[in-house]
Amino acid sequence: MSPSRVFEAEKITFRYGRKVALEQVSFDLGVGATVLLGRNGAGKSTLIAALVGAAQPVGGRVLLDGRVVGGGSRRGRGVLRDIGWLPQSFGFPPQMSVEEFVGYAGWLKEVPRARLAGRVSETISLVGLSDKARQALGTLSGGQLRRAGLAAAVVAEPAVLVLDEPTAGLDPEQREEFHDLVRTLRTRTVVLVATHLLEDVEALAQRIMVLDDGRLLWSGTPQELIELAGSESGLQGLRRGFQAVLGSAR
Amino acid sequence: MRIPYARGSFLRSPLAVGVLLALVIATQGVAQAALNAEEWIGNWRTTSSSLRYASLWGACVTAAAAAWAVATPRRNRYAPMLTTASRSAWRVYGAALTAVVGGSLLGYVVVAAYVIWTTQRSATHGTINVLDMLPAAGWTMAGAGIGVVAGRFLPAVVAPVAAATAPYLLPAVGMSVDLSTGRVFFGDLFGLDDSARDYLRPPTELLVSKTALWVLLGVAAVAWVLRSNRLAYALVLAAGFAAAGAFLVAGARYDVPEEYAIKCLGDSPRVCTDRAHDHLLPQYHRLVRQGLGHIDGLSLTGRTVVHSSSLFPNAQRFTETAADPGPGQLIIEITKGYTSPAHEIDPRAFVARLGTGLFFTPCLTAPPQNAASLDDARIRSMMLYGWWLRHHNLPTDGSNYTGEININYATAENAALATRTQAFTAMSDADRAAWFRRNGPTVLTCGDGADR
Repeated sequence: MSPSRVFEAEKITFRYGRKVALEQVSFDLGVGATVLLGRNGAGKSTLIAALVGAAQPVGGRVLLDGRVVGGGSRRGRGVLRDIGWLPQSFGFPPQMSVEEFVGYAGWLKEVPRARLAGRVSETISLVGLSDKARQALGTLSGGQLRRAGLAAAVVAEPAVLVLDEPTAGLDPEQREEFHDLVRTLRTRTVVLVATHLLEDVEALAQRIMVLDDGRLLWSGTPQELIELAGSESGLQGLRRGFQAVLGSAR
Repeated sequence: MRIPYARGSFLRSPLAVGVLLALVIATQGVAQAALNAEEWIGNWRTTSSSLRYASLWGACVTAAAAAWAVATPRRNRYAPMLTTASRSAWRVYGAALTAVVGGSLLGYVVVAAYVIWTTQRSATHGTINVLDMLPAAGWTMAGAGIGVVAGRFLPAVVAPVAAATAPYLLPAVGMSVDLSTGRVFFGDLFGLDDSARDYLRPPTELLVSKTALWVLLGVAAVAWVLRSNRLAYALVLAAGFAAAGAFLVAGARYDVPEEYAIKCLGDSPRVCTDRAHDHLLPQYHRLVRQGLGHIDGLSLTGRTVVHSSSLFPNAQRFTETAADPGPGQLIIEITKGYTSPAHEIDPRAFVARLGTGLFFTPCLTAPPQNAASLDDARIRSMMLYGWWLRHHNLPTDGSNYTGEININYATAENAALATRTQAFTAMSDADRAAWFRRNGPTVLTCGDGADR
């Protein structure tokens, strides 16, 4: 994996019927963790669906190292191999075990057969579910299920990892474990975390993008966001900075 | 580490799905074919088209299974995982769809083996027409296509039910249009063509083009849902050509002259059928002889028993070889059994048919011109038929075969008939044999002047 990877969104526009969900959203990301911050309904999940190829925008395109993502062509599909995605909520085939789920995700992302079993084992170990590997997904707790989802997202060693509200529903301990995992991954991967929780921002963000009402309002470092609102630091500073961004847009 | 799902199917066991589907389609197909066995067993021409019975519900089962399989990821909320796969949708859905289509076709192979095996034991000539079996398989592919579209776009729970109804409703709509226009057109495009094949054959072009039409449309639907739009477009284009070919010959049927050729057995009487029904001839001949054994004194020397009044005219028309049987022809229709073994004549119904043929039919085909003679002949016919049924302990309420006369009504309304029937039944066997010896020729020609 090259550390100089560039993940770009170019004028992404998305509509649900007449309602504009995303309007000309553009950005580019490099290796490291970027947090996509926005209120509920800001368009974060829609943007993420467009970024990972789960939904086709009506305008604009997504590129990874200059290659267009998705779009139905064989080449675009090939780029999806380099993008891992943990949806906000996800289902799974009934009775599927953790290792079957991660293995199937690896198959879908074309991990070579010879390497698949090893990668499944590594990623399950990475997320700390080795003792649950043969357990059915339906028997896992919410936190364990999200970790299984993360294992499925990273099994193909993606260059880009997109996490949608990854800590929703986790208790503080599970959340901290999850943050540790993402901090490990962000050293070699483009990580985009969509969240409305400032705790995630504080724990993970090296860069922040603020999305509201389908438009990208602001982009910068956590420190720059804090400075927007004054001298307070930590969560309070982030909150005030976020509110300042939203306020300036109105 | 064992990772079964890494083989590429979101179904735990596509093989089990395929086997289950094959079992369901084979079971319902064999049951449907067996229930309609009297229409096809013994004749390769009709056997060739008998797969339509399997496709009647089989395509519905296939459509439901395809819809269920394709909707499974949505039902269990992991469809986005498949959408963002780098593998092609063909690979992702391939195992499930192969199981559905393969299982369905395997089911048809079992049904085909059953009908071929059954007919092989009784057919006298000809061979299976594989082309006539193909439209059913083509309609199955269409069912799969319908199911895939329903599974992709309809609510996941509703999709299998909606898909299951479509392969049944579409031909019904086509046939309704045909009924309203009074010509066979749309109904001929589906695999459910139930036109008789005893003497007629559908054009080869029709069989090939309608099979191609439904296979192409089915695969096109799958391609479209799996996002291979260019392939889908090309297949629809090809299906258009196939449809044009089918429309050109829809409704056409060609005579098969050799099926009208006459085959006969024995003499006194000679018993004849056409070639299309000659697998029934030995039993037909035997039953006629057995039946006549109950009527001492009635001679059928020089006469020819046929199963249809059009036997000789058709043979002359199509084969130009059959001699006219002359006035000595007796028409005794065949009633085939409605239950297994249905390729055989139903012996009980045949006894009634024989009575009808001997005592009634002559008065229908050559009635006396004189009104008094006609009345007398009619009463004599019913008297003899009533005796015949009672002699064989058969019901006299018209239930022996469809369209039989109800002797009970006739007797209740006609005192003369009741009296004559009673007197005839009360005769000794010797007296009755003497009666037949005297009046046999008159009875068989519906003539005038028989003893009262």
